Amino acid sequence: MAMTSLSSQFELAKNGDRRSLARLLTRIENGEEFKVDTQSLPWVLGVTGPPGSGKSSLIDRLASHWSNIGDRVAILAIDPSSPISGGALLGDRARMVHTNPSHVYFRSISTRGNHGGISPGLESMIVTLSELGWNRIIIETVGVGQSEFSVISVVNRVLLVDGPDRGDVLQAEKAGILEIADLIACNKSDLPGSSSSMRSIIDGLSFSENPPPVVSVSSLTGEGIQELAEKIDEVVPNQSKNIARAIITLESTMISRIRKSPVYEDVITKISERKITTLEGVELLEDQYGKL
Amino acid sequence: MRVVIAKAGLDGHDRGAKIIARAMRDGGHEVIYTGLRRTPEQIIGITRDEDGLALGISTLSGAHSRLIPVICDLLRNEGMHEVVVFIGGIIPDPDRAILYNSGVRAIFGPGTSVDEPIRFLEEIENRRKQGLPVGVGEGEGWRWQ
Repeated sequence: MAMTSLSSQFELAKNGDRRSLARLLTRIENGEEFKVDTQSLPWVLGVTGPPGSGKSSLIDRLASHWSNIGDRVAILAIDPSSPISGGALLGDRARMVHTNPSHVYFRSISTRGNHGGISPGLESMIVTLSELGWNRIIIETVGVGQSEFSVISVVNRVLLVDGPDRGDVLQAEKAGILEIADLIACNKSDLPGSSSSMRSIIDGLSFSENPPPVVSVSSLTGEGIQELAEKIDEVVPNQSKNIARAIITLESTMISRIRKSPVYEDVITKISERKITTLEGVELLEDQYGKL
Repeated sequence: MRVVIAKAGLDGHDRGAKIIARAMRDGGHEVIYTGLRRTPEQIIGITRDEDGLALGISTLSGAHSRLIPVICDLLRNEGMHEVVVFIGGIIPDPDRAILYNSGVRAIFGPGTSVDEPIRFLEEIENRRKQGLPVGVGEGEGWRWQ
């Protein structure tokens, strides 16, 4: 099959050909350079939260809500790749039951070994989708962890999802996620214990200077989805959040760089065998990279 | 390779599909699982949007002779000729010819070892490099034995 040029594929996608859109995104994901002239900043919502908090199901509800009022919603769902094989099992779309797939574009993305949880072509994929008229782009992140937040750098609003059977807000606080979240959804309001979980989230935020709004929702029943969607639209991207995001982005990118260092494993082994101290290990890494 | 693993129709048993999906992930592939009870139209849409080059359909309900040819026809109608279709599940011998004739390249029944579907995908990649037919709309003649 002859390779079509990226720009002609873009034109076909613009005329509504979903096949060309999918192909175009694959090629961008595989590292082909594609620049589109952007007229406006894309609308990008990042959805993060611990595994099992219901990110996918909530995205299903939100996407369905927005597409019902005429918006064009694209979802990019990121799942980790296997560190051993490089393959990935991408199962987020199994939760999509309310969205009409002819109005919503859903694409599963593997991190392909990038520790920051960001696929290298992601930013370009977002811009392309936005230029093709997808006016709401939702990024589902890998989940809460320490170095999975580079994805925050490509979004301009962040929704943190938590739920009554989790109690992970404290974890989130430790990882600094509360500072980057523009709003928090306390999911699974249909379950017992949800109101006390709401309270503990709000209590946990009481020391914050600018606490994000907390909305109680249920992906199961659809309760609270309308309110959540409205609150998301009230989010004004702001500088203090941008700084918090920049810190996390920078740090997680640095961590993934360090992990890719040829001496990294050697240093880890030596530290674990107590042949060197941690500080000596840092110095060995600095020999490779310059002083940190 | 990007592989879509689908459950079609009224069939809630996806243990086998999940095991195959995991095995393919461990074989280095990016596997998209559709979830349960998808219609043929949904499966085509998912394969198209995810840019899947192979589509594995798991079926244990007995509806294979009805569902699979519909899916293969839809793929061809949509111009997705290069998509490779393979089947996992319980397919009685007399029904196999119907599926192969509709464009299916492999059928993995009970007792299949987990590495066999992975070797199948490797063979697909080899054949593709040589320009030999593998897709659902690329002509009959070859199937995995």
